Amino acid sequence: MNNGSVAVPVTMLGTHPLMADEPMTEHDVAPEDRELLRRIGQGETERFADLIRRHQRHVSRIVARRVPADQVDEVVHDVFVRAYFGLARFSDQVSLDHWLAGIAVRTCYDFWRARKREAMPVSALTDEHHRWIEQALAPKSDDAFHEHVRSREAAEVLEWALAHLSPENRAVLTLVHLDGYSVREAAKLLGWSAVNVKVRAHRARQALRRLLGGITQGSTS
Amino acid sequence: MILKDKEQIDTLERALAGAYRAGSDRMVHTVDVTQRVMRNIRRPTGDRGWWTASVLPDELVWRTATVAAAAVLIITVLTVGIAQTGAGENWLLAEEFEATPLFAE
Repeated sequence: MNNGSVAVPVTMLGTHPLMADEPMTEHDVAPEDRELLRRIGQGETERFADLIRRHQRHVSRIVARRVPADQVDEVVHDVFVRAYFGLARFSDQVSLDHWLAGIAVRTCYDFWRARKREAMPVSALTDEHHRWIEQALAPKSDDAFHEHVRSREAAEVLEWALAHLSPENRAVLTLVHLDGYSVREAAKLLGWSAVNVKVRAHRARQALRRLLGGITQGSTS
Repeated sequence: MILKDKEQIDTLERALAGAYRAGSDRMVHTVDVTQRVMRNIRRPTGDRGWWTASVLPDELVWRTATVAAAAVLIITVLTVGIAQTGAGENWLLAEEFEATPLFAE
């Protein structure tokens, strides 16, 4: 859905195009979606199932990046339930994909807020993770780098780092520094002010770097 | 030493961002929640229409808190106002009693 006209942002990875399946260009509503919305609005509730089938792949991919694999179904379900009950607030100035992306991002944020309230323990890094970090710090070719970051340990260290951030910092860091959205785009998705997102993005990055500074020193000592 | 640490943090940060993108590329997992969602949206709303249920729990909490805070503020202002008015009247009456001797000579 992303049309490549979006400016390439600078992220933690350097520069890379936006994730292809999280449309930020605010297209008009697709004619098929418009027709489905009209019929749902006239009381044909069952047509919402067609809407889900059209968009659940897109929503699933957004959610799968943000919550643990065993929670994806639950959160995707919540996204569509919220979407249905929020249809009255849907403005057809943006595409339905874009609107659903916002709900998905906010639902994932709420998921981590709920987790924080439950005070779920964060598992510690193991020797395997420390070995992965030491290897990550060693100079290597591009191919070796790509191979290295695809490992299970890489995903686990990333999850460990994100788990130490507040839900707000996590949401902003993921959107701005990992996905590569601009502050304005991230603010729209989260429903926050651009200033808030900008401040949060800076703080989140600092928090992450402090955390990494701790393990960098730990692994090299 | 600080510079070395900074470089190491940069490297690790890049590796983690790479891990994030690698994980995103791998994900082809699509769930089918159609039946569950449809079951749930039929159940709670009935014929009420979607606008009544559009007030999500979070919003409900905030709205309730706002109304409660406003009510407390109004009650406090009224209570303080009444107390002050009452005290003022008492003071005036007290002054009047003191100023008038019981047995004037």
